[in-house]
Amino acid sequence: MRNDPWWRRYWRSLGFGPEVAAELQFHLDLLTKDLIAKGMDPAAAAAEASRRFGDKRRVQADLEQIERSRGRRLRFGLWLSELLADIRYGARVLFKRPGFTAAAALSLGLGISTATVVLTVVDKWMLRPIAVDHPNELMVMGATTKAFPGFAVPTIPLPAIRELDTRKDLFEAVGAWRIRDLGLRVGGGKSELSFFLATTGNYFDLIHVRPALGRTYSEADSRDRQRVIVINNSFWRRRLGADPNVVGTTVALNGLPFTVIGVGPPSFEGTEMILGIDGYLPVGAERDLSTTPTNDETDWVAGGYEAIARRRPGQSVERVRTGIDALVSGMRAAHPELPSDFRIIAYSELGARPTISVATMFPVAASILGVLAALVLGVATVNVANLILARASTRTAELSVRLAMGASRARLIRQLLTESALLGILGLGVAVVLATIAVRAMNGAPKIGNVPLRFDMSLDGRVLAMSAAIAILAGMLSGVGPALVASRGELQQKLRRAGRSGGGGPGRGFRSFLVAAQVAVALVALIGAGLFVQSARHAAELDLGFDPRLVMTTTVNGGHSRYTAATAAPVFERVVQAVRQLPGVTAADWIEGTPLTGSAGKFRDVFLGTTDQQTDKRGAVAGVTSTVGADYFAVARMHLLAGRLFTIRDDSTAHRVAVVSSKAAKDFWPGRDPLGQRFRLEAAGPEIEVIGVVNDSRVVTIFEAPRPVAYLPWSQAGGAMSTLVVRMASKDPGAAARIREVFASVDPQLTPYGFGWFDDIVHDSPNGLMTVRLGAQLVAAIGILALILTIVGLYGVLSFAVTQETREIGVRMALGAEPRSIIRRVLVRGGRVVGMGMLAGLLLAIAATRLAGGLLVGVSPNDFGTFAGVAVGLALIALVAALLPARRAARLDPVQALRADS
Amino acid sequence: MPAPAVELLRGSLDLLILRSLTQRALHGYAVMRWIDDATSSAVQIEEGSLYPALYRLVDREWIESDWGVSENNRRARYYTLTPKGRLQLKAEVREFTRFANAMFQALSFPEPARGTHA
Repeated sequence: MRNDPWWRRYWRSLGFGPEVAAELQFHLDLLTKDLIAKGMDPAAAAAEASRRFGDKRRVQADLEQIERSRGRRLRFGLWLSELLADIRYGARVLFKRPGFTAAAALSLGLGISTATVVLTVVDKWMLRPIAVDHPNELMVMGATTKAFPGFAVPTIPLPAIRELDTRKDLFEAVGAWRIRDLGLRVGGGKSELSFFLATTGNYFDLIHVRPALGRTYSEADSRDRQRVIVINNSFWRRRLGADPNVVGTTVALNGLPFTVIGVGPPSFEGTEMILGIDGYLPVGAERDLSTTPTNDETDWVAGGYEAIARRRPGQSVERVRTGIDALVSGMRAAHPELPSDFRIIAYSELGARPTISVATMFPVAASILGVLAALVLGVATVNVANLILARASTRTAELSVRLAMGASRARLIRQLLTESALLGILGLGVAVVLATIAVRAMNGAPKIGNVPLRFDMSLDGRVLAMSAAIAILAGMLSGVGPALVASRGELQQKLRRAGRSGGGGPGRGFRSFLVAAQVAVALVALIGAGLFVQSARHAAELDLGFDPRLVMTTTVNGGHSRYTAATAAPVFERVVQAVRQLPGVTAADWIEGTPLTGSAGKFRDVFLGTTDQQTDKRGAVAGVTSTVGADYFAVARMHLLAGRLFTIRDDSTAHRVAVVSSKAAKDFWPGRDPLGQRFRLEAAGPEIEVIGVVNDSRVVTIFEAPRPVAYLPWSQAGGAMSTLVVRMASKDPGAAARIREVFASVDPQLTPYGFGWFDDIVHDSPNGLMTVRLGAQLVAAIGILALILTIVGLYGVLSFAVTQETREIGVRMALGAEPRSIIRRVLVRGGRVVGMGMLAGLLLAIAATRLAGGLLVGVSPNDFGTFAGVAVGLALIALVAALLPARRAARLDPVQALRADS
Repeated sequence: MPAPAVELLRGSLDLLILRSLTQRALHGYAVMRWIDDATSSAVQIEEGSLYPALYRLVDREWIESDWGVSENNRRARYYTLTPKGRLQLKAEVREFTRFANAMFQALSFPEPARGTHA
């Protein structure tokens, strides 16, 4: 019986076992005996008993069956009640040591939240297909361009997509879509900026989207240029109050009435993942919204579409790609207007998120993030294991008593693992809070110019379930080593042995190495953060060549209200004149596009020769043009270096003039007086005369070297879409509202959008300070994360070391060592680990910051102040983390310390 | 009508077992002997039904079993009534009495006159 497996012994201890047979045999024996007593001879009695009993084997089998099922239920009940007891006990233990519990939960929480955030992004952008049937058949396509060879961007000409759609052997259907910005007006309200997808008529059918209300449009609707739209479910709820009678109503797009024919399902918000999309309109009707008469259906040059296709179930992605390549070379031959290197690249829909242009990069970025998250989680787990181990030694008495009272080792391990799983759950709580903050920051942060993006990240149930599993696993992993050691009841001896040998053991070296590595990483990250933060500050003070402070900007697209460049000009002139009369306005004018947002400055060929000499592109030089009103230079506080600025006489009837930047003057006419020089922007275009020179400024990106810029007068080159820049005497919060009123008074259909102070826009724009600022924030966040983990790790290792050396410390104190020398001893040990980590970290930082040198502004990659400051700060924090266990060691009672050993 | 008889018998067997254990712990054979004596051998119990009934009662926690030493010094499994079983016995006695009284009353009811139920 000793050799029975534990569960059988356990079962028997509950009153079960192979004793069914014994019980029945006992019954038979008594029956036989009674029959003998009645006078039967023994053999006949046994036979009679057995006959009366019937099929003994069957009865026995029945009884065992009843017993087994009862045993199972009992075992489960017992397991459950023990688990509940363990949880209660564990919670009490954790509650009694709030410092330890908080440190461990925080450490695990940091690790788990990192994993949760990465999982959220990966789930949303890599794992979750569009909620339609057979989403794996969906493919998206883009075209390569000269500017970004090798990357697919949504620039395919519509007729090319129509030609792909004829290959029914490869595809069930191929459609096209592109983002369309619109002025949208609901009922009698104001016009507002809205983003729609302009799609081919087959878009919904090929994706297999079924509307929640009404219908979707078809190819016939698009061909007939029906003015119909389908709206997204979220837009319907947010903007139209989920009106059940919305189908059949009309809204105005760019001033034209469109009929709402359907509402999309909640599960599908369009194939655009970054911008918030309100609805869809057919490409046929979209032509009515443009003020220039173009027909994309026949235009092989304009491009501008992303293709979406459903491949035939039998066709592999590879076969489809080969088919596309063959088709595209045919297109190139038939249409010489296509670029000679024109290619169409196809991806599976899931493989081209969040936008097709980053299809090849996003998985790489995601894997790097994943590995980082796993590392952080791993380090956090080991740190907590150290903490638990250090703690476990102070609990030996408790554990020994429980062992002595008959708790089995398995039972004890379960108890300890339950405790660490509870830590994991606490960590999960911390992680959910941190991840919620992180996700909210992600959703709120990005903007393009002034248009906020809708990342729409959320912590959903699947990700949270995964995080919970990770949390409990990480908690238990951190506890499994300590639990095995502690439950053996050998902790004491083990500690003693380790203490005596001067603190060896295979784990020790590894633990110290790990903490040193954490110190190194923290140092690198914090130095990086320091450099980036300084860099961001310097960049904010950079001389841009213009002054963005106290300048309010807003953009208006006259096209949204059916203006052309010609009809918009007088209206825009009335707006700016009225704005100049507003209180607090010192200057105001128009500029095409906002500098440093990517929308200002066009790259152009500049022809410097006279008409006779130069008619082809080869002699042209590269330049940038920017169309501005006469007062723009006053608004931007730029300086006139020579000549004059524009006047009202430089209008569309006068001969063409330009003001050039000082760089343009030097590059285009070296050693000559630029004033009076002439150039053209098209080979056979009109001549433009230089009338003035202004200082250089940053136009396209904030870190660019001065570019040759030609400023063209808005009165001669302005378009229907323009940005109003208004210099104010103060940062008046009411300015936007008053400017908006001016627009409304001139034409209620004009919709100015993206109101913002120019310096804020520069701050937030990817072409401005956004990369520097986000970089600084990201590196700072990593640095703080690494710092917290390091503190917990160092504290854990030193605490463990102190408990290991309790006896040795006791001996030293008994021999008269001062508490101060004990403290010094622990600090020296910590110092060695931290010192090694810092040395490695400094070397790493020197190498790493050199790589980042190109991203830094106004600060050297090896800035001594930053290096020294971070190193000293980190050393001080490490000292505090080490002081806690050191003081505990110094406060040991020598008598008890010695007794602990015997 | 054999089916209701079996049903009836099974319920009554549980009742008899519970009743047999009211005073003291008994092993299976003794339970059988007690039923034999108490019913003057009118009810014959087979081992094939007795033991499953005992085990099921253990499972319902109306009785519990423990190994002890029999009158002739052998290891034997003894069954005792649990507090829960005692309550159950009370309830079943009440229920059975009501049922039996109702049956008696019905069986001694005067025959209905022919034709009255047409």
